[in-house]
Amino acid sequence: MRALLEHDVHASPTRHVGLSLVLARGGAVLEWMGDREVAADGDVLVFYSGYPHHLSAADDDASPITVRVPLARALCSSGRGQLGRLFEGAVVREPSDANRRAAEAAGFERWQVELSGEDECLVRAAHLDVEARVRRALAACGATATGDTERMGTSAARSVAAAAAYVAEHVLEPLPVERIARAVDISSKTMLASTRRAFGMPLTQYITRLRLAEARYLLVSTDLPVLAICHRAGFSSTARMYDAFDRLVGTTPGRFRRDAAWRRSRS
Amino acid sequence: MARKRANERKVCFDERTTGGLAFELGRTLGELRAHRHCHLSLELVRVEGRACWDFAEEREVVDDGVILFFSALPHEIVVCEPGTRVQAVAIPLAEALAWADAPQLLDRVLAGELIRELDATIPALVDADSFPRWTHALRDGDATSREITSLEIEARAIRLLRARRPRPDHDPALSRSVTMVGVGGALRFIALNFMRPLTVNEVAAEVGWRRDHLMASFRRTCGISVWQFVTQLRLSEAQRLLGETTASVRRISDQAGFGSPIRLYDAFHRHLATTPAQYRRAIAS
Repeated sequence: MRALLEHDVHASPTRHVGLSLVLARGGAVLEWMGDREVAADGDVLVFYSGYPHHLSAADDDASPITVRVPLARALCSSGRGQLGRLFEGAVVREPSDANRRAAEAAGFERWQVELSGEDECLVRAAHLDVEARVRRALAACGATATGDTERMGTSAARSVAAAAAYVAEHVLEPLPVERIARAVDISSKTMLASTRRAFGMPLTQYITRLRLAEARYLLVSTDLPVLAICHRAGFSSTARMYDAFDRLVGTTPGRFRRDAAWRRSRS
Repeated sequence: MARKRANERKVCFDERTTGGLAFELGRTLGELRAHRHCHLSLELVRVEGRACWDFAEEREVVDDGVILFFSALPHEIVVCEPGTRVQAVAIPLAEALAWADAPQLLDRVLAGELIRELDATIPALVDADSFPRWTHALRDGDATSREITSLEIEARAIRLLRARRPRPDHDPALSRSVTMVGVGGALRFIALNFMRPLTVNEVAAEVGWRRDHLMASFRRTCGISVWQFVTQLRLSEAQRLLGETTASVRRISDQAGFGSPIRLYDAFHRHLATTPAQYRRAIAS
């Protein structure tokens, strides 16, 4: 359950079941749900990296630092109640404070060293700091605890993380609840209850959001027709995709594609 | 030890919040005697400049850096040089004891050692950024920011405890007197075991001293008797539980090590001139 680190910038969309905490050192650009989130030098980004995304440096001199918090660890933390909006697909961006920029960078660099080291005590210290940093970014952007705020048990958090990892891997296939439960080796009832607690939404809605994110990514980054995207994103029919767009994005796939192209041409 | 009283400004930390993590502000005051804090805590202190502490038997000089020590030791700070900034946060003992690996990590600090930092483990600018933020959050912040701050403070204390080094001018094996080792051992043993029934004989056996010897040395070093120290720990634990939980007084008297509600009431009456229920109401309002 160690947090991982990344210096490199991804070439293709990435998915990683967990939270990403990014220091946009020198500036960064995040491709997210078909939109482009531009972070200035020193901004801190937090998002749920289970959704497809692509982070790149703003220019040649920029070097963003990403710290990843595995989902199981994030769910065990006492700040779990504040994570709801991240699972709904929000990117939290805390603007840089000029007075704190150097200290912030030093902190991120230190976590890199500690998390890749052998000393368990220092790994633990870095984990505490990263958890605190994520929560501070959320608090700075007005995230308040919603719904169920109680800390999750380790085993429940682990099975939710395992279910999320399985879903991520098989999102293109039909995913009846029983199949996921069998893969994770717990009862359907327990799994539905703990995933609802963790994500703040029913498991089916989480899967739909995952497919939507995939579809939004493809709509913007490819010229594929809507029907092809529907299959590539794992929707079993175009009707389901249109319905999901209508309910959760408030538009249609075609209009979303046109609006996104227009927004990108302006930025 | 020759103490230079002239030209020294005494600084006392005397502003504390109640319950949970406390913060302290350095304030220049008149002459002040060595003190201990009523709430037992570990003091995590950042010094910018040069500051001196007088402990029971030794004087410690700290130049630019972060230190950690156990507040149960009688101590007074003497700022030696003008322009020195001192920022401190107090970590309640009960909270520190709940950390993972607390016994190993806290072993030496509870034994009375002043923990200093290895050079440059953490860039000074990070501490210069975080300490003011912590004291601010602990004083004025809401519950969430206090909770976040306590995570960061724990992380900072862990780093300090992992990177500790002996004092530059002393061989650690020689510098700590026999008395301090014994009394420190007793302090640590009591701090880890006060929640259960405890006798002075048991503490003496733990440090390998005769009972009379322990009691006399303890009183001379700490300024209070062994038994007063045990009661103090139990009282502050009971106060914490009354403030932070809704547990019954009977249950709290067990958890804090009093063994029976009568002893808890007696200690409250004697030391705080109130009752547990009144105390809880006062905290809540």
